[in-house]
Amino acid sequence: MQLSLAHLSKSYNGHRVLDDISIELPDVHALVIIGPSGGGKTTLLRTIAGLQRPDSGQICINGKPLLFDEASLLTHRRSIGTVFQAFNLFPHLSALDNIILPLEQAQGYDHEQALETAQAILKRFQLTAHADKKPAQLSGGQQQRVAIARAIAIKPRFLLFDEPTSALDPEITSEVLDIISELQAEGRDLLLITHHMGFARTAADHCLFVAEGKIRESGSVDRLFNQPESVQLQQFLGRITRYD
Amino acid sequence: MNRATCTRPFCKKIPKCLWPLLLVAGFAVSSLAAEQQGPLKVGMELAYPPFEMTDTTGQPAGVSVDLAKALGISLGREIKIENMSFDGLIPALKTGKIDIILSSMTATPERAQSIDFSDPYLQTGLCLLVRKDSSVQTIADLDQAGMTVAVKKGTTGHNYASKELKKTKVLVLDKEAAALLEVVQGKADAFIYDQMSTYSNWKRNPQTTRAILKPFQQESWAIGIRKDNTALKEEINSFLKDYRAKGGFEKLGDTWLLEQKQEFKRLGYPFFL
Amino acid sequence: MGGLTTLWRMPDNDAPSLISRLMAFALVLLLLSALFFFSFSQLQYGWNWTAVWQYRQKFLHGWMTTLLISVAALGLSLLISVFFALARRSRLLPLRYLAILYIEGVRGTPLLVQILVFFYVVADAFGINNRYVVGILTLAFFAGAYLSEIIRAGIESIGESQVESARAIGLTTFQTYRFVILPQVVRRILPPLAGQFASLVKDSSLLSIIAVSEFTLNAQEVNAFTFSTLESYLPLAVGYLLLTLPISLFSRHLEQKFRYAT
Repeated sequence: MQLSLAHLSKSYNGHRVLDDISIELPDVHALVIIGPSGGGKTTLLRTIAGLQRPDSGQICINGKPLLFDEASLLTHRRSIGTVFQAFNLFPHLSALDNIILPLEQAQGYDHEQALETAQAILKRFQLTAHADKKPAQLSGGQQQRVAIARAIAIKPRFLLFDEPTSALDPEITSEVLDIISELQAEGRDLLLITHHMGFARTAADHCLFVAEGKIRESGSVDRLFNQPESVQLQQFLGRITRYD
Repeated sequence: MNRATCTRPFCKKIPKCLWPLLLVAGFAVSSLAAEQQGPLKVGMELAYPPFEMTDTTGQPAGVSVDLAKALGISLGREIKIENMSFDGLIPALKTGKIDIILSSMTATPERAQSIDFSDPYLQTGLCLLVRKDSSVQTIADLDQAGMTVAVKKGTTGHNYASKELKKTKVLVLDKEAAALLEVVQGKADAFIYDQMSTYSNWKRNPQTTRAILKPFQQESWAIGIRKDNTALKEEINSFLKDYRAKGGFEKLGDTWLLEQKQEFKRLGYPFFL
Repeated sequence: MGGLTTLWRMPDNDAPSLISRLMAFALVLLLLSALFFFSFSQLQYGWNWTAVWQYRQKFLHGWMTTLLISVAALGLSLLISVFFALARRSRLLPLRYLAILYIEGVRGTPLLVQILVFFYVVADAFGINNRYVVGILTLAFFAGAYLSEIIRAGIESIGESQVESARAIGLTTFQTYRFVILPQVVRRILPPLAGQFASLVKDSSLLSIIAVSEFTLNAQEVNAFTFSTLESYLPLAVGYLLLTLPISLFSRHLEQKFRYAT
């Protein structure tokens, strides 16, 4: 997909979270964003997801600008899938109902269609046995997989992941990363925030390092990892690989 | 529980779990003992001027209060006035919370089944306070479909309305003030109450009400006593005879009901005290 | 004695045996009955059930009136409370302040005062004279204030992350309330809701002061006619229990049905 950001800015309580971010990515399929907490990467992802309005700037995806009025944002949100670190699913609905809900209400499917689609996708992820369980009865990894299933059930234009495995046990992490890898191999466009550098290297085709509200570095994962140019990236990499 | 460790002889015999029961029993015995002589507890509802009310300092005052005090002097006992709602007086008397009822209570046959009454000390009657523009002139006018009558709970007016007025809608109110308000606001056609209060209520609301003071049912007030208490009853009756002979009631009338006395004389109604 | 204590105590697994439960209930009932009998025997009270029995129609009529008033006030109070709970959170300032004034005003004044003022002042000014209608409205507005705070607390207890999640999958605000927030709120507020409903049933007895012929007033009238206070008021207590117990039982049944961990 084509992604371009022009002079994107956002402030919270006097603090500049996004500081005049601009970048042109004419053809990217799996974009990984890394960086320290509070550096702005989550805000950036949420802005691209249509969950937050920037104070100024423009976003252009696949040639079309993203308009920031509520109606356009609603349409935009309905065309993409977002998976957060945790609490994606609604606790009072079963896994199946969690997937059916957006299909029926946001996508306009009728009940049979929605049911079929949801069941098919659970089957694909080997979650059929858990279809009628409530999220509290599922493990963290299963919950995230259901969340991903829900995100792709709507046939999104692209997917966004905000640290999808950070809240999981290391053993379960690979379950979820496997799926993301699968999706990427299928040719889906995705944008991923993660700390798993090993995974990023295998899955991503471009990497951004965001710190203190700006894109400090941009390039292939290998290049950023092996030849960090900025001091911040060097320090950041030093910290996250210290105990590997 | 290890009884061997408890060294006091008392608790050796009684397991821990029975101690609360003993406590309750102890209270009961002591309360029984306290029931003998002591002040005479007089029950009345201090919401019925000028018979039972409170003065500006909050002390009980009125015809019945003065009468009670005179009774106390005659019996040689201290008087203690217990203020309670009218419809709670008889239950309180029956259960011994009060010793006599002196609250402008009419002696009726129904009430006489539960308690005893002294000789009557006052004659009065039920009459009507109606809306100024109402067509009601007599009690018969009131007993029609579409008519509404207000009464105070537990009074002879309440009794009369529920027994005799078959077609009228009866509104049972807790307080005289509420019943009066119902008539003033036009929610009720009439308020059945005794002559004196009806007169006072009319005097206070001349624009909205009209008093039909001719009584449609005669009543006499008496002092209520528990059924087993014949000695007290005789003492009270002799006090009443004595008090009247000495002009005590005349004085009460002049102190508290002077205006009513004169008005009723003018209207030709017997003054009852 | 050691063996006996294990019989009376709640075991570690929180599931006492049937024998334990029956024996514990029996003991408590026995002690309470003993206390009651003892108190009544002290009264020198002459029980007179026949007089009260003659008035059973009044009791029945009053009980039904209380039932109908409670149901009507309950239904109305739900509508009022949902409206004001949402108004309290509204972005429209006048609406929000209206809700705040209503809630604080009603919760901060006695129901007795509200009934008297509503009926003898407000309703009279507007010419509404039907005391049953005014009574039901007063009760509904009274309960509505408490209920709306319960509902609002329920809504606010739903984590922001769920609202985020709902937005992310493309639900509108209305859809979010309907499919995500309110279903969960209903489950969470069932216990306090049941409590409020039971209170409403009992508070309806205050309508007697404007001569609404409900259960309590009828019992009081029977007492006035027969002078049998306890025989009039004990059935009153039982009658109210008959109205409030089903509410708690039903609420507990619903709680079990909707149980899910969060």
